[in-house]
Amino acid sequence: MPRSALGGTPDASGTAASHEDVRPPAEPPVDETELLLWALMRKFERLALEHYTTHARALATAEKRHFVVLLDALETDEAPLAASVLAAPVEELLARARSTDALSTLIVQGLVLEHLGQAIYRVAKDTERASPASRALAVAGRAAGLSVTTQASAEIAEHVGTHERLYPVFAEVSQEVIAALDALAEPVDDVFGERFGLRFADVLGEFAAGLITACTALGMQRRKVVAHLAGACMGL
Amino acid sequence: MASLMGLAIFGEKVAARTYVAMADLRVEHGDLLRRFASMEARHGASFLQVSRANAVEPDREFADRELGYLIEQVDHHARASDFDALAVLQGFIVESLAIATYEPFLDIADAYPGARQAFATALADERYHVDWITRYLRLRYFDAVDEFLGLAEHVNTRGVDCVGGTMMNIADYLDVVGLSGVDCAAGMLDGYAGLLENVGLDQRTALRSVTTLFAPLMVKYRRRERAG
Repeated sequence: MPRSALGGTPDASGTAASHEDVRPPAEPPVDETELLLWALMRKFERLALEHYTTHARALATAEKRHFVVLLDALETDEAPLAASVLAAPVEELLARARSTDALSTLIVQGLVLEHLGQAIYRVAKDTERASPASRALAVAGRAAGLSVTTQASAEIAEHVGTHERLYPVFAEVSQEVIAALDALAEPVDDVFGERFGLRFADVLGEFAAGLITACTALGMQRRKVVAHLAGACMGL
Repeated sequence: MASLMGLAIFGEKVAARTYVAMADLRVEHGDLLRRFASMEARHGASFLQVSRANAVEPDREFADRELGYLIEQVDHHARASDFDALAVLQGFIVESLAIATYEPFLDIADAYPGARQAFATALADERYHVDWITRYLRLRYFDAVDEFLGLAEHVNTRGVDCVGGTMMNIADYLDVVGLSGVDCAAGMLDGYAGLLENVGLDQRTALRSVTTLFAPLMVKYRRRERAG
């Protein structure tokens, strides 16, 4: 596929989840740790939307744009994030996520990181220790992520291919970003574990299950995808 | 090779002991499970012969260290008369490790006189055991998938930590003898998740249940490798 921007207009794209089901929280979260989570997610979501708009417009779905607007409306301060143990691994992950073309935008942002985001939102929306506002945001975030991954899978199938043709491309392009995830383990547990019950292992389990399922739906061999993820996790 | 053979030989003996514990708990399946135990004991004996034929002294100390945690869990489930927990632990998790290593080993087995026959027989037997356990659990949890998920998660918490941890501890040794530690680990994870699916869990739930516990072991492996 050409490494140029993919066509398609955001408003015309088909999406899996309707944002009609997703309402903004009536009261924004005020807890410091919750605001830290949303400051963190806003960085990733803004970067993703920026890349979708530049390189793969069909992924800039209405749900994703709506969700970024919700996050922008929060009064989050990035200073606590920058001062936290999360800062270094997050910056490393963001650096590896700075896609420079359509191919890496589709695979790194549209598939891998969107599944990571969905895993975080899935865990967060079910944690009883979070405020209703944060849980509502997590529901909105997950719906936005689903709309993108549905679109990304369709775009990948059309422009890159499926099955054995896709696997080597997926493995090569996704390696760096998946390999950067392990640095988040202790910081995520330290910051969010006790307060939220949001543990890195749960997020990683959700993430792997979601990504493997998406990859097999694209025809990739499950064993190969599992081996790829295992190799990246083991640093090999 | 000494560590791998130690684990294979003494691991098969633990497997025999576990099937005997299961036979004691269920009279109706007792004869069959005692036959499974005999098969496992024969694997241990044939692996010992292969070891001797190749002048490999099995590392008993390593095996004892790895198997101690497993024996503790087997005893715990046996004391609780929890046959189904033993079925998942032995019939699925432990057998998944065995299959994930014996199967690729066959590709290089000819480098070790006698190994092909011994490991091919063991692999076929382990698959037979897994098939029986799968049928048993499918019948037992027919229309009770949530209950089965509860059982799997209960057993996984320590079972995957223990047996998956052993897989991580032998990954480097597998690389040394010409296998891929990563591929074997992936084979165990994928194989075990597939068995849970065969009983009735959906793919996503099965993968999540296994990877939530397995992935941190892989990350831990990476930290250990980095630390040298």
